Amino acid sequence: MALALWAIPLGAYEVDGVDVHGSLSQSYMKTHGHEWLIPGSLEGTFEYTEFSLNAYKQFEHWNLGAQVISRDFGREGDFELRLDWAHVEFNALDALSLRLGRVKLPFGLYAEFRDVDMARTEILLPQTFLPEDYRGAAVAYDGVGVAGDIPIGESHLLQYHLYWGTNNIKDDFFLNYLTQGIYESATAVPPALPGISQDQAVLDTKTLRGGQLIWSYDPWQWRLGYNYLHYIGHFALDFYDLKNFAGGVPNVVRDELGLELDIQWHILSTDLFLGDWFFRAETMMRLNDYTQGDLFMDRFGGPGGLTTNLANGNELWSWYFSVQRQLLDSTGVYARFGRFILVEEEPVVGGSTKLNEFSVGVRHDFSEHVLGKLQVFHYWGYPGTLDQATNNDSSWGMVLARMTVHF
Amino acid sequence: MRVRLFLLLLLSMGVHLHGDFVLVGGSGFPKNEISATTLKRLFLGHLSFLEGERITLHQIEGDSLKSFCEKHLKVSLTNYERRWARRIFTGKGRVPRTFKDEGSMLKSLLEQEHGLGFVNRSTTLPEGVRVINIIQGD
Repeated sequence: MALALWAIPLGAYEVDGVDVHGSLSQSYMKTHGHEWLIPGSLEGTFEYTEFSLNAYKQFEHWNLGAQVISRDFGREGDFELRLDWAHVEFNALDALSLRLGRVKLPFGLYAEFRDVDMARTEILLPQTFLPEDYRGAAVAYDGVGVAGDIPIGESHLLQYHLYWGTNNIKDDFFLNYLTQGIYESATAVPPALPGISQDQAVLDTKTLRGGQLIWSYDPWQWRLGYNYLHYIGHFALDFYDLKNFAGGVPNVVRDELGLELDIQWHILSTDLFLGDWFFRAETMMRLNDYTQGDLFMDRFGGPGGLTTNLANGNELWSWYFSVQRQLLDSTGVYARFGRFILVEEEPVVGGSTKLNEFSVGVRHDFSEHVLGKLQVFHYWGYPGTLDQATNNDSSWGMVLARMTVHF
Repeated sequence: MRVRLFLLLLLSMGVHLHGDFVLVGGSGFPKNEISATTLKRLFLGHLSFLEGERITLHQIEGDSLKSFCEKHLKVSLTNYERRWARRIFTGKGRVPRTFKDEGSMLKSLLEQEHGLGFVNRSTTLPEGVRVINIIQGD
């Protein structure tokens, strides 16, 4: 599909002052040693497609815009059209703007545009930092935000973004996680769980609040950022007794308090341009505090992602650094190393404790509107069971190639 | 005071003469001169307003934009385009209006009283647009 669009004349479209932009990307993924992220990846798969289209109108002090996104990512997405962001913004001045609606969630310096392939050299952001199988948890918030850019003299700039609202992760994500090992359901209804209804496994509270602060030193193009995110989620009352789950069908139990997830993230980020070189690093600490969490979470490893089986009291520390070099106007390369370490309050047998990622890649812009990328990954040091259907190796590799058309 | 004014004048002339571009503004552009830092912040999306007026940015695609980015914004064209891609696809701003040639850009500036763009120094400007000087400092 992306190749077909190559032939269409592309450019930014403006209709009555409304700017229209879009992108379409098609990826090919192949893993070695572990079937990861997308079923069938060991044999190679094209089940990784993304499409986005946005419209944006600017008035004197008001901005209005929306973007839809559709993606197919193995068992997730299934080309369901979703509202990625849609907000109205009142710009009193550059230092103070008010946003209302669905707004991209600041989560480090790069998560806001993790779907914007044009904005970076690599395809996937570090999977030890922003795991793709947990994407739905940190995409956007529905609520209100206050943001602004404050110049300080000739050389300094302070940017801030404070927000309060709800997470737009799907209400039934945990049900999908249990039944299919995925977080975002597709249009297909997931199979019913024995003894439990879908209504009893949904999130009824998804409150989040937080902020981002970025200081920039213009002469060096150096940025330093801090993000804080506090998330409170709550599940309905009836659920599986995962604490005593030993295989088969778990018992359904009633807990009047339900399960409350209280999670905080602290993220420190920095990046720096030096001529054609670009350096960046981020580190994140995630702190879990679950009420009644022991009942559900202690024995639960989950069938899907690697970083998600966090029990009450656990802390997740992850970091990465990246070096990028623009070789030509149209060609850039990068290398990146990242790691996460799970600090468990009570060590769990077979649980995940760490993962290392090293990746290199290249991006080439064929034209103003068409670009191609290649990214190679190596993962190692994960002590848990990776994929029982294939092997129990503690390392694996992945190759990802992508073509993107945008206007 | 006179010495400082003279030095300021020399400085602004120097920047003006040594660049390949001159800034041009619409008839109602709120300033006669802007600092190099303000210019950079405008085109990198950190500033939208001057004297309370929203500025409509104009640019010419191709080599002109590449030279403008490197000489006046101190960023590569790649860096510049990626910054705007982030804004466009996250709902954080409107990319500068892009034109294929100076003629069509100047025509637009005649209609955009708060517009700001750049043309080659040798370009003859029509009535209704004016040169905006670049100065060092705020």
